[in-house]
Amino acid sequence: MISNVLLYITAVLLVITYLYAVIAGNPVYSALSMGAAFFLTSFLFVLLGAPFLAAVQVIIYVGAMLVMFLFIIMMFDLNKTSTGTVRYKPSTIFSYFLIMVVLLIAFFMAKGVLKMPEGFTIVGFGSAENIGFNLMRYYLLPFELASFILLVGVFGAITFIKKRDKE
Amino acid sequence: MHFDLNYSAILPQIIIGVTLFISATIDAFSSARKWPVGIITLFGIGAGISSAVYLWGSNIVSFSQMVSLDEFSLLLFITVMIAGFITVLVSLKYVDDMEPDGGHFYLLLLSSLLGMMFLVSATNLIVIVLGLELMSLSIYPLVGFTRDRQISLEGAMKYLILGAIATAFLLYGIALIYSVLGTTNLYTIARILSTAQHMTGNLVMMAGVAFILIGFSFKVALVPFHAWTPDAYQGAPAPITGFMAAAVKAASFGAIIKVVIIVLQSFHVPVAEALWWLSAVTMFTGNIIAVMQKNVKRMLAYSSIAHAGYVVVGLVSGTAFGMSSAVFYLLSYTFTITGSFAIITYLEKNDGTGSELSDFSGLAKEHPILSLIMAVFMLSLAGIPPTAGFMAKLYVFSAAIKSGYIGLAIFGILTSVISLYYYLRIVYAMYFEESEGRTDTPVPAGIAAGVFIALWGVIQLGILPSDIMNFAMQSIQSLIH
Amino acid sequence: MQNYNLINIAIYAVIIIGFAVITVLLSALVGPKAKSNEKLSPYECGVEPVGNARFSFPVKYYVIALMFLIFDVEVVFMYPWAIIVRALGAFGMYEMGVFIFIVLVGFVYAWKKGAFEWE
Repeated sequence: MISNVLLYITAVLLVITYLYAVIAGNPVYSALSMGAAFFLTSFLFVLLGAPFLAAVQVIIYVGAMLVMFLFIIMMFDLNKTSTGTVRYKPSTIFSYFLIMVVLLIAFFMAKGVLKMPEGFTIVGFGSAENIGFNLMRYYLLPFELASFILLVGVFGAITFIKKRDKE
Repeated sequence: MHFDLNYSAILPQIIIGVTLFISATIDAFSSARKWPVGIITLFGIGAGISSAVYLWGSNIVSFSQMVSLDEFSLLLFITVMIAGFITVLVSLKYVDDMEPDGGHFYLLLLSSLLGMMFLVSATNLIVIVLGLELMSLSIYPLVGFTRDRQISLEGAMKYLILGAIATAFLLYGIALIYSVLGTTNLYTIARILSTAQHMTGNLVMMAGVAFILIGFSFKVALVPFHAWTPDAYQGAPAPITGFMAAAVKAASFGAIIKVVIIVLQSFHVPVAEALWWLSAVTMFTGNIIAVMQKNVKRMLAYSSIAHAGYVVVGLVSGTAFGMSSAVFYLLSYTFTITGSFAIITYLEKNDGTGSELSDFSGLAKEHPILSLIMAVFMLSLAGIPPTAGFMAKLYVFSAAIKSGYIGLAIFGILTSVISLYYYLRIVYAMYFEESEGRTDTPVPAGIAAGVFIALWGVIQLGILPSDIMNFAMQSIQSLIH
Repeated sequence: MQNYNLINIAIYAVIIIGFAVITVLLSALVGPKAKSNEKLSPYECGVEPVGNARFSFPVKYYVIALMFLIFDVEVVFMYPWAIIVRALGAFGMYEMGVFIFIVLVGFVYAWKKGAFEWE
């Protein structure tokens, strides 16, 4: 009961914050609104009984991604940005609603069929121990692959920022 | 949960990964000229190809059923590594000309190869996503490698954003499938679907499959998901354009073929119908727009869109022969397009110009051999015997006709007749137009070597295709058993 | 899912939000107000504000942020590992060793390429 109430409050706030992130004219407001949305998303993980994921959401998204976004925004010339809201083309809004309708239809179709397969719910699912055991045993290969993706992040950054000796 | 480790299941990947570390170390501790890093990379990819050949015939599923090493993955390993090998050969001089300290070019190439290899050998949707991301994240900086060119950065930016959307679609599709079946393992999915008849017509599953299909269609640039292709292909450094057209496409198609064979043979969603339309629209649009292009890189970008359509014809037919013909097509296209872009790399100037149609005028007088080889590549792309492109198209269309898709086959043949026009325009420009006086530099050894390897492949696959086709058949059989 | 009682979280959230709101409100209501030009200007650690804050910052900040992000993600992977490292035994050490080695290659590479130099 109480989790349902909390869920709906979070959901409404999530929609508002993400919507403002999309329409805010000032990119800094956008980023901060997105930060609020990241927090709310982490609360969704709490409601799902995955406290570790909630912590990760805050550490990575609010702690690192948001800082990253803000640094990137700082590289723009902010004097050119407006303070009001962004006006989108009608075609953009139309295609947005089209996707929304498709997803909603899929969701309502799904409501009847979605059920957890047997043996799916694990006691302590979402706890750090459980994630650790899954990561280190069953998902070992994806785990090591993830480190390569981090490595590529370094290489990619080097490509664009490396200073040049000759110039 | 079964837990097992069999390192030989990822031996080629380990070789490429170790090469990546060695190259990174040498690059970090060496001075301005970076061709030694390229040489090390060449040796590493060579070792990778050898290991794949050596492992041929093995069938190992390991790492908790995350990857499988079968003939299918091995053949695609070889395909993408050949593309990588030729690309590195071609880039040895190019990289040093473009960037004073450009060793990361080879590192990104290796990591994208690594991603492709995990992508085609994955038997779990999670590994597919990670492989795809590793591949794509390495390709984005490579497209913007020549960062002095506005067009290069623009292409990288467009590719990055649309690629991110494609990944979002893919992930959403996987999430939908997981929400229905509770697993991301392809074999388990196939088992559940083959026993559970009530899943037929399950809309969530269908939406999931559709989203995955959309995600991959972005990567292989099927119309209407092709919008990024011309800009990214034109903006990218010429060797990378060839690499994208060959290897990225081959790896993404490899993943599609694998998913379709393992999962969808037991689940009746109208995938064939969707692919039918995608392939028809893709062949038509790609070829028609290519006719109007003046820039050769852009022209070949549209042509690569059209070629993706031909590969899909093989998928539509749905038979083992059709799938094998698609794999054969990917291999033949790999040789042809990397070779073509090797020659374009030679013509490309440091500021990024030099790939206009007019730059090819009169090339035959100055470089008769190079022009002849370019003509062979163009004929192969157009599908004229005795080249690889002809055999590939022949297999693909005959597979479609055998499965009863005669209309699609005829449509494909008609569009390839259209394509003849723009391929022959390059040949015409080289042989019958007057040169505008270009600075005559000797062909670098690396480019010459790359071109000859590609030429060998094109001729080999064109004259003696049956051996390779047998390998392709074996590779598909290894997925079905 | 209920390993813990959600009502606790709800009470906790209400207390935190209440505390934040009440302190801000109280200081606004109770505190003395002496508005002057000096006091209304943005507080910059006591230093006089110079020029416009809205200029484009150098790209170096981005590199720092990106490196931070990469190693942040790496560390996040270590939390669940650290909890169960005893249960995993030596093999767990190898697994994490490989992971850290791969990211460390990137770190050394970025270092040698001068990504951390500030000039």
